[in-house]
Parts: sequence; structure tokens; C-alpha cells
Amino acid sequence: MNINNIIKLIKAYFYENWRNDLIYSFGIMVALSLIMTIVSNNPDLTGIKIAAIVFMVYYPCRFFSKLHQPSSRIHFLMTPVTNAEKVVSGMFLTNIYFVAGIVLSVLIGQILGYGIVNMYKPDIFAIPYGIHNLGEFLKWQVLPYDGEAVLMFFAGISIMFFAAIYFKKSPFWKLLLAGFVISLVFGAIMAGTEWLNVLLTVPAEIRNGHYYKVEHNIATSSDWFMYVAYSVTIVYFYVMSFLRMRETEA
Amino acid sequence: MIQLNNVEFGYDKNRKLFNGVNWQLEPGHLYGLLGRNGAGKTTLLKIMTGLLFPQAGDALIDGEPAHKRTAQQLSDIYFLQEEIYVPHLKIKQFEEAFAPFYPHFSHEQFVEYLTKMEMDNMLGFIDKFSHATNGLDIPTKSIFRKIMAAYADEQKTVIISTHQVRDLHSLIDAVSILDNGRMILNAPGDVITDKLLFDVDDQKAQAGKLYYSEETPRGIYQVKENVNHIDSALDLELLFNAAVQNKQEFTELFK
Repeated sequence: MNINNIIKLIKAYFYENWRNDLIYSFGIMVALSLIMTIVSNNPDLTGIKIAAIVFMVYYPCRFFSKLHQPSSRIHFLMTPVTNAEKVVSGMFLTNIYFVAGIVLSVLIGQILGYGIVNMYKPDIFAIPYGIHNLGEFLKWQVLPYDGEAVLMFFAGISIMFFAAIYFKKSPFWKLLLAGFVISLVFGAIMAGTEWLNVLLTVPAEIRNGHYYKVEHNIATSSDWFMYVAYSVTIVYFYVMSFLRMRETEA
Repeated sequence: MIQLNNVEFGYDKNRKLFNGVNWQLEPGHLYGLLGRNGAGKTTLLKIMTGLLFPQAGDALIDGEPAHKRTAQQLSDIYFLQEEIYVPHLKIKQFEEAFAPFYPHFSHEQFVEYLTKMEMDNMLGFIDKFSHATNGLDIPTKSIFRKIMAAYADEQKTVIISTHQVRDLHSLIDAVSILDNGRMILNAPGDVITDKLLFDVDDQKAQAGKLYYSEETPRGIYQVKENVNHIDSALDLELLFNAAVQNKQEFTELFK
């Protein structure tokens, strides 16, 4: 694998897309600023966070949109770098560039929103969340996510990454369907793991006991499994993406 | 060198488009690939460039399977089809973004071609080249032919697939005709004119086998066996009609 080729691909991507990316980022910032201004009295940001995560997970689709039209597919497939280099450059853009871009846009948008609110309602800006400076603000925004959630997020990206290469037509709807099916499967695996864990580790008399509480045991013992499961998922889907890219025809 | 050895391919499993196509392309030639609509010319070019994978047989570029699409192979070949992806970039940006992928790229040559084609934007440039000679006015056709002639050298292989055969005949030096899933003719122009005589006469040929004739107000255009090895100008349209009417004989004649 040649790092120069990966850099060339990323550079070519920027040449083609920097304007659009800038417009989207600006759009997110403006939208967030407005939302923060409007909901400043009772800002529940869960929906915004979910929307941002969906954006980020959906972004591989955007990177591989070239594969979804015959003429651009030929252009992409015939770009003189190896399939592995194409996949790796896509991984960089979807896992680092897009994620960083959206996180920054969301944060700047929110800060702008708070700024606007602060101009006409100075009491609301600092008091509800104790946001006294940018450091506090970032800490409040970013740190609540634990390792498992981060891994789950990157596993989501890897699945969408594969799907964006795999589906040639209507990738968006197929991705949604694939996402739904995958969440069902993951949900079933998680539920099954917890059930199995309780079954194997907790004696029947306690398990069936009136005052039994399983929350702590289940959480600690299934954590490692989920870490492994998400890591395996990430590796699996990137390997599959490479294999699929190798077999993609015009 | 590009080689297709017994290539089989079909979009439908039950209906093969190619049933054992053999084709060998040498460097230093400008090939004209002819065939009816739906004969599979574009498909064949896609197989040669690794964009489609043969279901049987081999497509090789310098001895390596084309479907591997290695960086080296891809930097040595380019496939320009009718509908082409045009990024929203200015020419300078396009060059900066994509030229680094091609080690043999020459900025001077690029500028020279653009100047000759009087192009100042990427869309027009690619559009003109992708449509080859279709839709070009007469002076631009002439410029296009000059550029292609200057571009082709001893190390390059150029294949042009078009129905505009009259624009091609002064440009190409080898002809390949694809029909019914087989390559029925693949030969240099001089070999063709050595074996076939392209003639226009008041009456049909008496000497030698007549492969094809076409009556026009100017006389009878004919393709006949060149018994006496007389020099004649290659007429691609007549050659194509003669070849599709005499597949078996042409295959044997140009083996």
C-alpha cells in the first residue's frame, strides 16, 4: 500500500467536494444556532445529537456516491491506485474527516446559538448548564459518550461503508433497510448475551429470588463482550468492503 | 500488449454475448473497432480495461489479468466512453487533482491539446474527446485526427470504437470487426488491402471472388479478392459490410 496514493485520492476528493462540504457544514452551524436560539429555555439536545450521529454514519454513502452512477463509477474504478488504497482513503474520510467536520459544525453552531441567546437573555447562557468556557462546553458535549458507545458508532460507520460499496442502486433506502435489519440483529445478540450471562453466572435460586437485582452483574460482564463484538464488526466490514471493491464491475 | 484469449461473457446467464473472443492488440497501432449496435464493442472494451470480468478465458494487459486493476495497469490505460463523468472543476484544478495519478502525464502536451481544440473548460474538453468524431464540425474533426495521429506512437495502443467510419479511415492502421460474439476480422490495413481490392466500377468484377457490391449513382462499389495485389484505398464501410456477409471466409482469410 502506497501512502502517497492515499494522499492523492484524498486530495482529489477535496478538490471535487470542498465547496459542498463547506456549504453543508455552514448549513449545520446555522441550523444549530437557530435551534439553540429557539429552544434556549428548555434545550433538550438528544434529537440533535441523534441527527448528527445519523449524518456521520450516513456519510460513507456520500463518499462512495461515485459508485452509484455508471460514468462516475468508471472514473472511480479506473483511478490508478489499488483497491486497498481506495478503501483506506474512504476510511480516513468517513471516520476522521466527516466525523470531525460534523462534530465541529455542531459545536460551533451551538456556541453561536448560545452567543445569540446571551445577547438578549444574558441569564440563560451560563446558568442552565454551567458552561463558563469552551473547555467546559466541550467536556459537557463530548465526554458523556463512553468507549462502548464510540465503538458502536464506528461499527455503524463500517457497516454503512460496506453497504455504500455493495449497493449500486437506491443505496439510501437500502442502507436504511440494512440499518434496520442490523439493529434488530444486534438487539437480539445483546439481549441473548445478557440472558445467557444471567443463566450461566447467577445461581437459579438467586436468579429466581424475589429480591434479585442483576443490573450491575450484567453490565460489567457483558461490557467486554460488546467491545469485542464491535471491534470484530468494524474489522469484518472493512475487510468485506475491500473484497467487494475488488469485485466491483462497471 | 493487450490480449483476449477465448473470452466468454454475457449479461444474461442463458445468453452469451461473447463465445470465445480472441483478440491481440500490439503497441504502435491505432485500431478501429467496428460492429453493429449491440455487438458488444463497449462491453469488450470494458473487459479489456478490467471494468468487467470475463466469465471464461483471459483478458491480459502486459501478461497480467486486467480484472486485477493494479495501479500500474490503471496508470497505463484509459477508457473514454460516450457518457463520461465530468467533475465540476476548472481545467487547472482538474489537472492538479488527477494528473498526479498518471506518471506519464505531460503538462505541455495537455496544454497543447487544449489549445488545439480551442477549449477553455473541462466539460467541453471531455465532451469533445468522449464523442470522438460524433457531432464535431469539419475543422474540429480534422484537429481531432491530427491530435490522435500525433498522440499515437510506437509504445501506445489506441482503440477507437465508432460508427463514423468515414472519419476514421485516414486515422486507423488496423481494423477489428466484432460480430455475433466473435472477432471475425483483426488485421492491419496494409494486410487487408493486400488481400482485398476496394474498387468502384461500371460493372461487377469478373476476376477474383466478389465479397460485396453496392450500386450507387457513381458506379458499383465492390470488395473483391485482390488477385493481382493491386493497391487500393481501404473503405471501412465496404469492408464492414463484406465482413459481416462473409464471416467464415473472412475469419479464414485473416487468420
